Amino acid sequence: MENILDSALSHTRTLTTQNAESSQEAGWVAASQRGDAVSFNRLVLKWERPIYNLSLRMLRDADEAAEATQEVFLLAFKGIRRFRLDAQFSTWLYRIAANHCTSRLRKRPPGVHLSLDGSQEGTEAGQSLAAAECPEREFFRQESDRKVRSALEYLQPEQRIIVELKFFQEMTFEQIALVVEAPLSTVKSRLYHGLEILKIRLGRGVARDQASTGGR
Amino acid sequence: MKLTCEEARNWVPRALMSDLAPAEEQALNAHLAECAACGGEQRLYIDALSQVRTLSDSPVPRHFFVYPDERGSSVMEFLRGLTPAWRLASSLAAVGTVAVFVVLVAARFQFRAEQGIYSFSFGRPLPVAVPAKDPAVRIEALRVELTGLLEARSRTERAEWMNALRREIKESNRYDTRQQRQWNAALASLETRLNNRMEDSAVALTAGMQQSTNNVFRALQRQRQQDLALTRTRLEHLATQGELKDQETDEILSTLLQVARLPEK
Repeated sequence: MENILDSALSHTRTLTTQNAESSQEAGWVAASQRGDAVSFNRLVLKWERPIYNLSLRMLRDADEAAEATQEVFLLAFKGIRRFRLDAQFSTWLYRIAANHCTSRLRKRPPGVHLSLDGSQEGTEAGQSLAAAECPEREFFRQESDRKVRSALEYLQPEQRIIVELKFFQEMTFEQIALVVEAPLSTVKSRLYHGLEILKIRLGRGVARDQASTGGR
Repeated sequence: MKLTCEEARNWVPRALMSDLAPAEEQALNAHLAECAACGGEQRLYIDALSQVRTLSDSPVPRHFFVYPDERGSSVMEFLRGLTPAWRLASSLAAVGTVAVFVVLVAARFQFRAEQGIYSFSFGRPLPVAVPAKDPAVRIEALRVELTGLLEARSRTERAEWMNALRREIKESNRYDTRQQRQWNAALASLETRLNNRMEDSAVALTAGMQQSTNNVFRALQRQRQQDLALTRTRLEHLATQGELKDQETDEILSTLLQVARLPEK
């Protein structure tokens, strides 16, 4: 009985916090629409990490991702007066980011392959390895990250953005459809095609395990 | 519901995304319990998804703040920045302008400005400008009279102008002669002064040159006498040294002769 009460209380607290954050964000958006750059920069502080990581996973180049993130916020700043307050700011911002990153990917000349496995990630990895409490675990985590990033490389930009929004931004299909401005069926179809590619690229370890178990 | 392996494999990712109806999910689970190959397929998906979900976020390299001057100021931005009342007013003005233009085009509006006269018409073409009728005057007589007047006026003006020109030339000649005389006097004076100065300079230069030549000659003479005295002294010294050496040689020779004579004794 006490457990149920505790969980209900914690759920209520979470909802209250979310509502407060949401109303605070709405206030910042309204102030930004009146031209208040400080309020907009508060929104930047709140959303820069997810937008930067979305750009990074989409573009796979740290410098280009930083540049794209800056451009996304600049576009949002220029167009914030067009934003309708009854919509979700995050959906609108993700739409700008998704369109911008997809457009950048399409503009890349064919054959250009950027990778974070190079010096930048190496430096970052080296630093975090040195700082980590358990270097071995950190090493395996980074290895796994590298593998997943490489697998994401095989997805089409349209599939990649949907995988990104589904798994990393944890959006529902309906929210994704709003962001990418596509029908729900298209969103699902692109996601399942993307998952199939990821299964092929990332599920090889399991396949090897299965083969070795069968061989015994 | 009985599923084929192909259907089951298509449904596996949908089940993982909670995109199946309960009955479909039940049928899939039943199939997976029986079919090891499809079960393996499901494990592949689960493994891939679990790997994707473990991908960690990277920290942002910097903040991405924006600044008010980056907003830009295009026409659209300017319109968007207007208050609703101004926006409504500017929209009405734009619509009004377009409407007037459309009405004018529809009514085949024509407009002409000719010799300070403005004319316009709706629909009908504007009448062609008719030249004015001839006035009832004798053009030839008027022309002759005007020509005569102009010639008389021209003659008078030409005579006045010629007189003025003559006066100017006379004045100018007089002025030139006076000026010329003054210049000539000044030039003559300058020439005389220059000649005098050149002669003085030549005399001074000649005197200076003679003086310096004498000085040089005297200095050379003194130096020559000193050199001669020195040479003489040296020669005397050398002669003295030669005599001394001769004496020494004689002494040595006599000593040698004495030594050579010793065994004979």
